[in-house]
Amino acid sequence: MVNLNFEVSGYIPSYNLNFGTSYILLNILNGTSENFISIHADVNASINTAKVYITTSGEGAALSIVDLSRGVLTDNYLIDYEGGFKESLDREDIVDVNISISGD
Amino acid sequence: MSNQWYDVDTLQWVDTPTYEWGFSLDISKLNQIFTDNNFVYAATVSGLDIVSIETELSYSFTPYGDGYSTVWASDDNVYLGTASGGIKRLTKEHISSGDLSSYIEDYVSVPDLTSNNVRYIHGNDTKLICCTNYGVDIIRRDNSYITHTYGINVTKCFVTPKHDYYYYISYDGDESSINRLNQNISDWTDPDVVYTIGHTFLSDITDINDICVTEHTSLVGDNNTIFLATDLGALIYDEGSLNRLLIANKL
Repeated sequence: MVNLNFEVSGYIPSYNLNFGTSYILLNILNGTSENFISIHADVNASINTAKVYITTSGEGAALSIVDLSRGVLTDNYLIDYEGGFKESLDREDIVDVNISISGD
Repeated sequence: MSNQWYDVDTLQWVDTPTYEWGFSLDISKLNQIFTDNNFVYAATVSGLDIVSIETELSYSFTPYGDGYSTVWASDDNVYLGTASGGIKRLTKEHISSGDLSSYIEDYVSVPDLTSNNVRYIHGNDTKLICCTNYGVDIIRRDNSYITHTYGINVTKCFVTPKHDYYYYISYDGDESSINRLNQNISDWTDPDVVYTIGHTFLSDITDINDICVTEHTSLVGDNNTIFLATDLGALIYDEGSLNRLLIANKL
């Protein structure tokens, strides 16, 4: 059994009993939009390694970066919230996300 | 349309506010972006906009009829999907400021493609996978040998570096599915694995908007990890351990 050990991050995963099999659920993303429109993962990302980049679209959209090794939201950007690089979204109608990594 | 990307070299988020996109680009009608270390390639309903990552300014805009539906770039070429003209190709060595129309050439179209209505392109070092409104095509970029599957409504596709192919078949009913094809040498009808919406690891999922796959990253064996943008959240599935993780908004 894989030990995802998300509790070290301070986020305690819950098990959604509506699913037929074991299912780790992390309710950690900010923003109100639930229109998950695009996703990108580091090339070495696994269910508990590296980072995943998630965007929602529409009112309350967010660009979120989740560290899968710790199960935490490490950075996020909304139209009214500046993330770690002091940037905020210009608009909320996001259609795509792509990540530039040297040598990738 | 807001697009942002994270440049790991400079550790900066790069965004392109509307006023910075030059020429005649209608930024509200962007279809897709693709990024390398120098440029962002934006496929829009007006054409191809190339934005310099260094300056964050539009570097080149090339109009094209009904625009480009999708874009993907290798080290040497930019591939552009269209709604009625198949796939076009721009050799990167020709990228310069201004209109690049004279350098964008026909690459592949019907009868070599399942349809000229190209919805999505993804690629790796040697191959492209392309979904059209009538099937999936796998194109060997080194010799142009193309294989196909026909008659399915595919919206997104992905190929891993070692040539595992994934594509999402979308139907109005409950038979939508993520399909995996292990390697490929000829036309195919049945994929190697079918993950049907509402079943297996897609239980409770009703729609998928995007797919990304990392290769040999499973916690068990040499299997892959699938990342999906779904109607429930970001769903991550380990094809080896069969573990699932759903990341969603705070309650």
